[in-house]
Amino acid sequence: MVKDDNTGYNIKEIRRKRLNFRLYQFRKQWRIFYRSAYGRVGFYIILVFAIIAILAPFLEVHRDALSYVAPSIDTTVMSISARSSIGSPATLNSSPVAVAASAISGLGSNMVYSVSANGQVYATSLGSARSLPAGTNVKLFSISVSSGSHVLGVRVFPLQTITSAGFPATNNYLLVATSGGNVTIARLEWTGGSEGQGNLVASGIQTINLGLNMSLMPASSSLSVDTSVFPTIPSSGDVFAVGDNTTGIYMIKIADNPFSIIWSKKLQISSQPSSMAFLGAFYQSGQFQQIIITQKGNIYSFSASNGAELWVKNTPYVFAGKYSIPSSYQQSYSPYDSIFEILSSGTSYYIEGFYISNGTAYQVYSSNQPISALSTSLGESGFPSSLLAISGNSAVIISSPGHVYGNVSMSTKYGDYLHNPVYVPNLNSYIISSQKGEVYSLSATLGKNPFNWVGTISKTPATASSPTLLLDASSGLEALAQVNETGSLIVYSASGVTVNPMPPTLHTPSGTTFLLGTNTEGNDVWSQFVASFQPDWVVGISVGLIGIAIALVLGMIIGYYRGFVSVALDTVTLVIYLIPGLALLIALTSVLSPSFFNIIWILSFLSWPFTTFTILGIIRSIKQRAFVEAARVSGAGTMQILRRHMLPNVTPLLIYLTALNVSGAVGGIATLQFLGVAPLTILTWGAMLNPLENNFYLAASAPWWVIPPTVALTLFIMAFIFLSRGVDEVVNPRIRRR
Amino acid sequence: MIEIQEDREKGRQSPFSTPLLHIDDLSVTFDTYEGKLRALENIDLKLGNGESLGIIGESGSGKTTLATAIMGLIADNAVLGGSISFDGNVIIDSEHFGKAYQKLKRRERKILSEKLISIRWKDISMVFQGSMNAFNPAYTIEKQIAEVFKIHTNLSDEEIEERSLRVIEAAGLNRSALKAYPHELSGGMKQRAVIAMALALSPKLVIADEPTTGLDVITQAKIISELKSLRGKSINSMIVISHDVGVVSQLADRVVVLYSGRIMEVGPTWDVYKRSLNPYTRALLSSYPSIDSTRSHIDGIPGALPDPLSERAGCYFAPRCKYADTICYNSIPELEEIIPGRFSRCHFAKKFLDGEIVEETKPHASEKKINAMATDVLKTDELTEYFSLRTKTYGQLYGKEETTRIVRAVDHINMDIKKGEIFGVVGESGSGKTTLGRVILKLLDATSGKVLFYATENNDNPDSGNLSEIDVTASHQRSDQIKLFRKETQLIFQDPYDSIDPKQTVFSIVEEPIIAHRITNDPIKITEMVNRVLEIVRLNPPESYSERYPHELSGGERQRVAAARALVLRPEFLVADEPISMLDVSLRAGFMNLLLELRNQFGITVMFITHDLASARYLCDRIMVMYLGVSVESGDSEQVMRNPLHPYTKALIKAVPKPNPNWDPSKIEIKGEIGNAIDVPKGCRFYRRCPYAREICETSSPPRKEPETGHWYFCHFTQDELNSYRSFGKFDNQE
Repeated sequence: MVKDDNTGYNIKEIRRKRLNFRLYQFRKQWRIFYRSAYGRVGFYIILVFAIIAILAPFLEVHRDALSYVAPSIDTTVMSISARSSIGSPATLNSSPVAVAASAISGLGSNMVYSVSANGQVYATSLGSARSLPAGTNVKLFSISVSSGSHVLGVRVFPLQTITSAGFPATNNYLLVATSGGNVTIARLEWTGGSEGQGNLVASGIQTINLGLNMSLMPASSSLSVDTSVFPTIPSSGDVFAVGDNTTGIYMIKIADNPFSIIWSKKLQISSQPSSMAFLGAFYQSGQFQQIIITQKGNIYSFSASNGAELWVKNTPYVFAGKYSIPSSYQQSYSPYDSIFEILSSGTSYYIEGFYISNGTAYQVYSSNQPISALSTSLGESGFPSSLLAISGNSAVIISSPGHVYGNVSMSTKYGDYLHNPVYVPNLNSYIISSQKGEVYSLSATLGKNPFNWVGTISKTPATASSPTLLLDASSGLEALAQVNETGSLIVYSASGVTVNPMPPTLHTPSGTTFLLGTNTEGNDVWSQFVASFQPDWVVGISVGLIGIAIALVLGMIIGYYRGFVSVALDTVTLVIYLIPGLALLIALTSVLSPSFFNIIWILSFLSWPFTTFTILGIIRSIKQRAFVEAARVSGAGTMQILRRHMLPNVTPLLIYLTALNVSGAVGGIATLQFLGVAPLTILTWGAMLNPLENNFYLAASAPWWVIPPTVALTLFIMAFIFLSRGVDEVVNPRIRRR
Repeated sequence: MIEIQEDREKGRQSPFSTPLLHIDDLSVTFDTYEGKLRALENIDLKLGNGESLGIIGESGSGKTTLATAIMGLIADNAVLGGSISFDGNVIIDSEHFGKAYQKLKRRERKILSEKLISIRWKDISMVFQGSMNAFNPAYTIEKQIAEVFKIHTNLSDEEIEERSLRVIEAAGLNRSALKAYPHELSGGMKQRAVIAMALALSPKLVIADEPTTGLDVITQAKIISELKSLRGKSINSMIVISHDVGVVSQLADRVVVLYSGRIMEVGPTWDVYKRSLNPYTRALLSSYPSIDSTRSHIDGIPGALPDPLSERAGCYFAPRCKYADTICYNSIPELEEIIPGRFSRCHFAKKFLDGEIVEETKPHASEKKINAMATDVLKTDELTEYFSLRTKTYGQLYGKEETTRIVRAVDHINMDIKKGEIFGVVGESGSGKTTLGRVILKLLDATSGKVLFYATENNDNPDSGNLSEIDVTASHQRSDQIKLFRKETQLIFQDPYDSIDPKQTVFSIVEEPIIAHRITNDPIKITEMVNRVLEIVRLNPPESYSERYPHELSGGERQRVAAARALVLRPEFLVADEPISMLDVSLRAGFMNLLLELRNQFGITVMFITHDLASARYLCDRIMVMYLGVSVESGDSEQVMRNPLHPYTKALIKAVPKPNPNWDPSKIEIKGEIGNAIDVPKGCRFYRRCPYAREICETSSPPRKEPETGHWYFCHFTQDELNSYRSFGKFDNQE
């Protein structure tokens, strides 16, 4: 009967056996649990949630999910404010001529003017006038385009006029020219007498034939410049044209009223110039107003008043014919006023500045890549704060001569960037348009995400005109207008439009993917969603465990002992239990500072009463069982009874209650954050749903943002309830009997 | 006796020509998660009109499943085979019940339900097991009986009232019982009310499922007598289901023995009892300790019922059968008609008939003489335990009465238990037996009086050791003396399903006292101790048991585990509180034999608390009879059984149902039921029920009389006086 001590047993074997037995029991119970469909589903959902929580740092695209805002290029798109079609637009050098518009308010602004190949001049409404909805075309007049010649372009320039009532007013004038030497000006008027009243008409149409063959669009002494510059609008404007005839190359100045030639000067150059610029449009004194002409490697300056040559500069390079004059330089004369020109020599390309006072050149930028276009910021004081050079497919920002601030490359998919970009002063950004109509908004400060937005002006790439800056009075913001070879004219806002909350996107201009789109703030929903798993788990598990620990201790004390302490604890528990939970939750959260840890404590504090009552009921019923008495007969003390008999008998219940507590806690913090009681700096599903509290429309408008946290919350809570039901099958074998 | 039997046979139609109830090849299988549970297999039974059929079987044999199948109350997860016809019409078939029910269309279900309503209660009614739960506590008995009429008849309210009164009086109850709520009735009265309800519509067939289980012996005898007297009057045909051979023998003409869902034997009751043709029946019958025959050794049946979930081959009883041969394990014996009217399912049935197999009677194992001079182990001196019914605070706040009411659970008990004896404490439930046991073990603090325990200081050599007296009542719970006392005393509880922790393995359960008393921390020693004690209680091999959970054990095994826990520290004194009452009959004998063996082998003193006189007689050296907290008689067990002195003891012994046609429960002259120990009579506790009661009994406490040495009783009268008073005793059926 007695086994031999030495051979029968040894400690290791006993321990190993016990361990095996425990494992065996666990496997058995696991099988029961697993057999229940509820338990299985719950387990797998929880497993998935746990895996996501563990992998969250790798899954979330942006670690700073809370503060990360999607780059504006991804969340901003071209905002088109008007769209129309003008048939076949006039083209120059195989690209449509730029449309004209005024950035200076006055009669005739708020319209975009374009000219078709056959000389028809259109005005397209931006929608400020009630009679003309945005995109409505008005045929103003047409100019005769003789065979062999073509339209050179259309310009708008403002002039100060005196109304019939004797008040000064700004009128915008149109300037249209053909290569055949026909130059036409017309005054834009509303039949109602003031802006937007009646119909827009062109009055005082005057055409003059200069008898020259022109390749450059004539320049006017008045300019339409950026809205940030408040120019003194001159009362009269001159038009300067360059062309050749059999006798040579002539520059002609034409007065606006009457439209007649003032002087004609024969230029001592061998071929047609590559560019002509008028400088000093708003100078108080006409002294420094000058016309700058480039031709091959030479740059000439002529006085605007008499055509006298002011200076001439010969360079070893070739002028590309693309220049940029900062808007402020047109306003007042300063020694640093310069004109920036693109030059080239073989495979070397340069941007040079030429002081308009004496033609002294200084190098701004040089590159091995062809420089195709340039633009500058306003240049209020000295060298413009930024100068943009398009070199190859990259945009180079130059902050001072010879100093590259930064560069950024653009797609070449839509052709080269031959058009001079447009500087938008209010946004400090450049609008860059590719030959085929791809439009970028580039921040002059570049930064982490240099592009503000990107868009195209036509669905299928088509050669587009260069962009024209204008003031969209209906929005009060700068807008741009472009026309493409198919004749579709588009007016779009310089600032673009934000599309937050943005639907899920895999391919974005910045290359970031937004698996679940963005929210209204532009935060990445996916990152926030994934990052929410961990806090939710932490809250759930810690509240579940703290709550169950408190409840177990109290439940055992109240349930097992009798006496004052037990009754007092019972009463306290009951009191807390009877106070409406949500009200107490909100009150406590508001009184204590709602930090992450406070919330955990508060939720734990609220979760134990129910759990305690459940446990103490079981403890009381177990206390009545004979085996507890048997333990006492065996000499077991209270602690031994509690540990050996009470605890194992409530353990399955504990698992059950913990599961319920965990889901309750996650629901609790979600409630607090949804109601806005708890700070939204704790990333949880509840926090993600907070904006929904006062905007239910989001659920329909941005389902990608609202549905994931809702589903996750529901699944998480449900999974734990399922889990507890699965545990129930293990705990209460009677349920599974049938 | 046999003539009476034959008269009955003649008096009714032949049971096999036009049976009232015909169970035709009925099989019931429950679909559970664990697998298919075969509850009944190929049951073929015919019940003649006017016949009473008894069904005997241990728990798990399918008795109740059969009853519920007849009533059409079978659970939805059952798969039925075969059919049951009543009065020639099929009422239960496999297409409408169990799993098939779920597939029925709504209209079919309605038709079925209407059909069942027309049969249930009108044709077949049932006396349910556990009368305590058969009534809704929120309604009066009248309302619940009237409900039967309202559902099944179109009688007016007045007629219903009259009919209710008639049935309740027919069941032997006073009309006042009608207005009572269930809790106001005693167990016996409730059982009568249940019977009244079953008889309300004069059904052709009454199914009585364990009609007396849970009742006290005397009440049980009365209910049996009631049912007997109703035979032929209100009760036409009857099926009596019971695990108690005595009950069935008294109520049934024919008996069916079920084992694990199969019929083992069918035959006329007395014939089956006298010459059983089936080894199971024989084993079952011999498992009962007898109260009136000689005190012979009983074996019980080793092992447990086979798992109904597992696939089984051959005879189900074969693993437990001492006659089993290879054929028994391989082929299923057919239920054969051995002689006309006698069926048996056994390969060797004919041999039993021919007398080839004869049971030998063994002498009683417990013949160890207890030395009268043996030292006392435990002594009680005027031990008293009163409970007050109201807590102090509550009493002060709401108490209308000045004095709180007191339950005199144990009232001035004097007894001494000698070393090495088995001391029986016998009484009906409510007599204070269990409380006495608990007070002795200091699970309850005594109100007054003393418990003295004599512990042997040297455990290894009990004969030479010095005795130290422990005043159990006076010592503090945490004193060293009580610690020693706890080590030396143990308790085995009534309910093995409740007394061992379901979450602990057998090993943890048994090691509990070792850990509690800090005997050792060494796992090897603990394992050794546990395994040794498991071997002692015959849980062999211990290794296969130590890592099982209670739910993997049978009732008998559980009780053995409880015993192992009690014995692991080798206590000197063991209180066994009804340890066998929850066990199946076949297992009881085994457990009792274990106790005997423990006593014989280790000299453990046992206080055996029981309500079952037969087992007390079988097991105990001395017994004490308790009634309402006082002891009424005590003496050597054989003396008390053969020559009971106190009127209560006399009645108790008489009330035990015996498989004997001469037993007549109607001769018991005791009135009413034990009641409670709150408002006890001033004089003799038994006054109110005693057929011999006189005025003196009401006012003064009876003196102790000791006509034989060591055999005393408390009564005002001598035996001669009692015998002469007998004529005054008047049996009063009113309760």
